[in-house]
Amino acid sequence: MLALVTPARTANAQWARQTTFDVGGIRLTRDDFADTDGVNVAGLWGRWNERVSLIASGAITHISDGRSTGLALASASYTVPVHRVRLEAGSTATILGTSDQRASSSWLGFGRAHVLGQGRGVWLGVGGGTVHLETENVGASTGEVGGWLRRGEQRLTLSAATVRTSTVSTVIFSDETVLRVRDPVGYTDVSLAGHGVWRQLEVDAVAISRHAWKGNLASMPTAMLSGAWWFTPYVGVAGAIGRQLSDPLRGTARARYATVALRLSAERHGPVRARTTPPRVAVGDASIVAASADGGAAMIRVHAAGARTVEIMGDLTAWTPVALARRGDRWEVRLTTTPGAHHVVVRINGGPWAPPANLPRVDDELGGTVGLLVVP
Amino acid sequence: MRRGPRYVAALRYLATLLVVAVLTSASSRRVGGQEAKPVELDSATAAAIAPIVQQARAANLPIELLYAKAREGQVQRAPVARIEAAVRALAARVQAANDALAPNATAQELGAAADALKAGVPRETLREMRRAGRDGSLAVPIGVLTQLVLRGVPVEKASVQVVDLLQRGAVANHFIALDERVRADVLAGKRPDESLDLRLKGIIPNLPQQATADGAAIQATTPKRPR
Repeated sequence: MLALVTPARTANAQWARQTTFDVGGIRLTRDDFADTDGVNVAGLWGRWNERVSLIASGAITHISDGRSTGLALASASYTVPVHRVRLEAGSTATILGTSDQRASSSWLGFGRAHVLGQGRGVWLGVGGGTVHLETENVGASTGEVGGWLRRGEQRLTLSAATVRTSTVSTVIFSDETVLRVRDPVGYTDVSLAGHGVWRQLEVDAVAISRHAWKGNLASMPTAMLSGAWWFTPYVGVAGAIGRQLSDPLRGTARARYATVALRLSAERHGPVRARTTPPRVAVGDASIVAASADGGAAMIRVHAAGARTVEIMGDLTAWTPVALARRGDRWEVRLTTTPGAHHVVVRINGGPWAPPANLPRVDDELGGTVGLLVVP
Repeated sequence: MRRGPRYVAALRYLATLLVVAVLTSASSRRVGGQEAKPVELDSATAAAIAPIVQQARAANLPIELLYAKAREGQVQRAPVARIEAAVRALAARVQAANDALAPNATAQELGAAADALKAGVPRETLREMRRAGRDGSLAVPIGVLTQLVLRGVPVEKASVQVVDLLQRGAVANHFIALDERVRADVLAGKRPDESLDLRLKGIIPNLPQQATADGAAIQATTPKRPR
């Protein structure tokens, strides 16, 4: 979903990326057999930008009774922006194999419409495809609706997904006749997911309530909690605990699990420590002047000794932050604006917005103050 | 087919939203020769200020000032009610400024005059500035008058001196220089009114006109208001 495509972490100008590799242990409890311990290896590869999203992941689990399970997932989508709406189309493919059973697989195409706001958004989507279980191919259709909120590195997502497909069970008679029985199922998963990052700690929590309205799946709630602690920017410890619900689209069964793993990442995680302590520069130390320039423009110059970044925002930028460029010991930007009085604030080194020291302050009637800059 | 009142109300609401969207888009500014991305108004803010905008438009006032204030409030995440109150107060000041600077005040002049009125500058001062400045743009002189008042120069004294400078043919750079020198003096500990007197002595002799200069000379040295 687009809510997960947050250009944080290692985003560069074009692509955000996430590459992790986990090696660890797992304790698995399924309803149909006893607790088992095993070794788990998992990987995640993701690349995305505003239009394209490519994600692949896989996991191999070898449990103590000698059986092994492998699961691979790939997803690709393309998004077209139309004002504040994002139209996304894509597909997802999965394959699940175990050492003593036939592999199952699925392919689903989907389309979604996202409406984005500032730090929030909603989406609506539909999908459909084919699920291959045992030797049978069954159809599947999905519908989803959801919304998300984001505040910095914290994100909350509420969604509902409806699935209609079939499960396949095998009956073997005494004369070795094999009968595949299709059982249509329909269910809706309502989920609340939270994601947060606090310095080196990343936490994900999901609560799901399943409402099965057709077939033999059980209606039940569940919850999952996972986290990672990055003790170096590229190496961390990851853990997860919870109960996954059966997933007819991927062929996975209901199970409780607990995992712990060493996680390696190709991208940097945790807070970025500056190599040297930057000089403390307050807006109160900055002064601003405006000079007329050619072509009905004004050259805005800010003096802020020791600043690493300087931005200006005001009615002459339509209240959009604009970065100034360093020119020797001062910062400047050329703006096309009109002579007269303008309300402005500046920001130094990403700090708080405030009026420059040399400007008289005006009550903005909105709970703050702005500087009154006269442009000649 | 007969349309019900709810249908008409819905049409009016849609028309208002359409006008707001078009005007918001049109009010974008240019940065470095490129269009700066405008900050869009959310639907709640747009709806809250729509009646104020309609009144301002009916009074032939520049509504871009009102949208700029709304955007400022939205960027600062002010509550919608507070944004609405701020826009309403600004609209009232713009109306008062328009009356004082009649008949052909520009948006820049009205924006500066709205700040001046808020700082305590009397409307009569604005009328005198219009008479003294004739066809020259008053956006910069009014802005500097507001700055002087906010720096602590008594409003009566600042008003008289700025009007006098206009009559003597002072141009934008004279006013900018005056404010900058007063600011430096106040920062050094000098009283604002004393600083104004001192700095005027340095500026007036360099002005191209005295109070008796003819109108043609004034028009040649002051920026023209766009028609």
